[in-house]
Amino acid sequence: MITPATAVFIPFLGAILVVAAGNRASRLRNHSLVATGCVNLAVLIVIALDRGSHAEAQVLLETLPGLRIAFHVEPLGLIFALTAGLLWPVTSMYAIGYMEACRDEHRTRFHALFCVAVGSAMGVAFAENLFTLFLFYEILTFSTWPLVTHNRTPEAVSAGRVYLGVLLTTSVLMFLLAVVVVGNFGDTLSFRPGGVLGSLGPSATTVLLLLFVFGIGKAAVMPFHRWLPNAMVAPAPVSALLHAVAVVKAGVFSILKISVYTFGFDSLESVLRHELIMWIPAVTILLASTIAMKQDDIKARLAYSTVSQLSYIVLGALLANQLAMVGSTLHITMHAFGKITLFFCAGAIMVFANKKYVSEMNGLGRAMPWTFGAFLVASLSICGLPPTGGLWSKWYLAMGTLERGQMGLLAVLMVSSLLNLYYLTAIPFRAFFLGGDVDRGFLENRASMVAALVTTAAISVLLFFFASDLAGLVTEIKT
Amino acid sequence: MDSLIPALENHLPILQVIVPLLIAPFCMILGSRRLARGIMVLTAGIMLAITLGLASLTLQQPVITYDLGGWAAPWGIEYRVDMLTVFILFTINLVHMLASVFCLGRQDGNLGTAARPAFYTAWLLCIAGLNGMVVTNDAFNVFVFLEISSLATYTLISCGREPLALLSAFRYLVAGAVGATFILLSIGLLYMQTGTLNISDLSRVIAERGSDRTIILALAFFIIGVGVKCAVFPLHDWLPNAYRFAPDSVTVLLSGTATKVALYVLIRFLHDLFGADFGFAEMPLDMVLVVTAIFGLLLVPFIALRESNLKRMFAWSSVAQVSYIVMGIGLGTRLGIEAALLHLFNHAIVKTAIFMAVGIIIARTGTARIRHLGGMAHRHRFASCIMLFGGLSLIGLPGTVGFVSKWVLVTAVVDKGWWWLAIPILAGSLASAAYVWRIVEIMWTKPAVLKPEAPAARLHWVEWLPLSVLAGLALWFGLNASLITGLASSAALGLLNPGG
Repeated sequence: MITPATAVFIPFLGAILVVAAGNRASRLRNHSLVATGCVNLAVLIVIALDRGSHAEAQVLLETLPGLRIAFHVEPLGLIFALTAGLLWPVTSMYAIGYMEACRDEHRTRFHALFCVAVGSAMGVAFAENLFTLFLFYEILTFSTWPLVTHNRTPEAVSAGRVYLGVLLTTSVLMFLLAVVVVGNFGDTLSFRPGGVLGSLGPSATTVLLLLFVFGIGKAAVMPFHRWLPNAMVAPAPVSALLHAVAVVKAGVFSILKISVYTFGFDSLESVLRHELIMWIPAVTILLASTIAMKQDDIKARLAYSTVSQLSYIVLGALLANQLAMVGSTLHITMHAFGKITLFFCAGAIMVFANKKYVSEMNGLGRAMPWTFGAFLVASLSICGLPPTGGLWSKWYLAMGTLERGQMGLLAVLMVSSLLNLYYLTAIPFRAFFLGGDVDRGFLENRASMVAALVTTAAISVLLFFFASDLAGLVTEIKT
Repeated sequence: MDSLIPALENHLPILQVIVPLLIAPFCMILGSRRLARGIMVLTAGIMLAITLGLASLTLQQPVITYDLGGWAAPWGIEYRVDMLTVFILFTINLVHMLASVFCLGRQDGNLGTAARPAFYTAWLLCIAGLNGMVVTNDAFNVFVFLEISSLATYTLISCGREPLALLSAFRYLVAGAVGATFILLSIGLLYMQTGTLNISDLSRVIAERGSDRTIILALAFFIIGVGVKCAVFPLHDWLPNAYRFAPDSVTVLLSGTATKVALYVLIRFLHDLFGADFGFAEMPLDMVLVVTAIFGLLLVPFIALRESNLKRMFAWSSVAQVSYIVMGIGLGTRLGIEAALLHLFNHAIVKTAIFMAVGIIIARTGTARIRHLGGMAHRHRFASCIMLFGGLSLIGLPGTVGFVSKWVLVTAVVDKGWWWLAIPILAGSLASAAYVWRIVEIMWTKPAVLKPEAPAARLHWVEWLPLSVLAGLALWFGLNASLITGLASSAALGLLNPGG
């Protein structure tokens, strides 16, 4: 029997397999890692095809009356789970190659915790209520802390402190408080189409919305974004899957899901009389893009770009109309494929050419054609240019702002896209066209890593053609 | 045999107390340390069995009374067992059972040369006194058992190996004596005004004649006196050093039993003796308790954060956690008491497990200094993981028992209409995250400071077995808390509506 719980537990099972195989049977460990990812993906696809039969909540445990650990299948979670599930085996292959190239000693711990993190992302995706969501949100926080501090260097440890400090402070002080408020004043903690806050007044709803938006620190809405650039001390696969896909997307996905199923568009309408709220993510979009332009460290630049892109999704959630919701959901997927490619490329440049600053990239294009080619394609997707999937999510988001009549926000989206175009394409441009006289020979000598980044870049292009299917899935939600 | 069991059944309330009391001297008389240890564990098992027997009796009959020596109350001493009593008895006897097994460990890092048979006598007297305080329905009897357990506790603490153990035992003696005297004064004033010592009778008389200044004074004396024994902030001064210098097994025992029983006495006296109307409607006791609790749970974690000794750090954490229980009691509502009882049980099992894990590490490395902990997680995996799990529960993360009790507490404050209290509760959780994670960071990411001890000491079953039981319970009740919540809920209901 394949249920959402299966998809949540398979990665945890994978963690056990990885630990059991250990460093001594490293081949077995690597194979079981990739195999777990593939099985998990297959399970997700089966669930997606058969989604009609999983509409009922699947209750695993009832901790207290009203506090249930339960899963259900709905379009938003399905798209998030599929995105993470599709990228996981690819990242596993990349991670195996990367960790071998780095001659890391703690590979078993690394891979096992990676599985746990993916499992908790699945838990967030399929959570049927706020308690389950919060539970897996916190497991995700704690399981990624050892990954951020993986190198055990003083800067990694202090970055880990910022990471945990920001995420825990926001989640305990604001997110949990918001969950408590919903638990005590809302109808139920469960996610219901149309919302569960019938009896709450507009001002209380506004406060609650702010608690969620800032309390879900993983969405990195300014001023609670500092953990994300700090987390970049982690090995590249962690930055790629976790800090471009699983962790940050778990944050924005939570905000999106809560705005659709806990607030409901009608409740949000009453809040949106305060237009200022919509400008919170808008300010983050612009500021983060501006900061990204000034970063020379390639991973820091990508991190600030992520902060900016995450707020696109938050903005879409706050616009409270169907077009924006479709845009936000699509952007979870489109940005995931684009950004993971960029991080794969950054890691590959680090491993193959031992370079991490943008100013050192000149002339690397000839030595690493696949890497910089993929980088260019992914940059186009992040900026929202054809022929990549990123076009469609930005399109829907833009339509969403128009439907709300917010020309100012539309302008923000457009300006930020221009900034993206500038600071992202500058990197392959330098590699291909500047300082080309240096001949370094061909550097891309690890097939698994190159294959991974080419795959994700290719999927970014494919998504240009299949976006309508995803959009169709989202419109199944009754709002 | 068939006639023996029903005969014993009627005497279970007194057996709970008299068994350890009678057996205790034998540990000393027999003079053999091995025998004494065996006797101790056996007694602990018998006491847990008696508690379970009492529990099954209360399922049939909510209140069991027992007249000592056949003298009827209010003239004689009455023992009274209801759901609340059973809840506390189960908590302390479970912890005692596991602590006794843990005490068998061949190397108790802090237990000095004093591990003579007399140590086990004091141990049994301590737990006998604590059980007595729980089952008796006689105010003066509470004081007597309080003194028995306190004197035994002073002895146990002074058995610590370090010289300062004597000083901290003495300081606890002074603080404890003041506390006990205050309680005695309170009981004396009550007796003066009412002429009775039976708790139910006292409650009836107070309700009939109304309160006067003497009764108010008695309440004040009682709150301060019992506050010292509970280590309620700011009356906690004795606790950190007492826990720090006591032998490890004694710390394990005390953290799960002593303060918990004092908290029980607080609940029992407030509701059954003084009456909730007097304490919470006439007197602003809710404000007093809640405000002290807020200070405790917000300030104490910062003291813990600066602590350099692992044992004392977790002792400070106990002071902070007691504040949550006091806050629940201070609400005075059914949900508040339910939250207090839940947190009492949860904290008892979690903190006992943590102190056991600390004890295991101290026994191996000979040090409890936090800066010596670097890299310890890789050398003592089991103990470190338990400490991590316990720490997560102290923070109150979902999936742990700490979350369950804090959730019920937050529901209780919202239910009373004091929803703003949710903010200090959550802030307190966050503050405890700071000191817990300081330890985790050192243990997992810092390089080792001490040379690996040789030979690598393996875990003995008396060490891992009780720890696993506690961890299993904590895990299970964290995920599926309906059983323990149901018990706490019916205990709270039984306290507030003794009739139905």
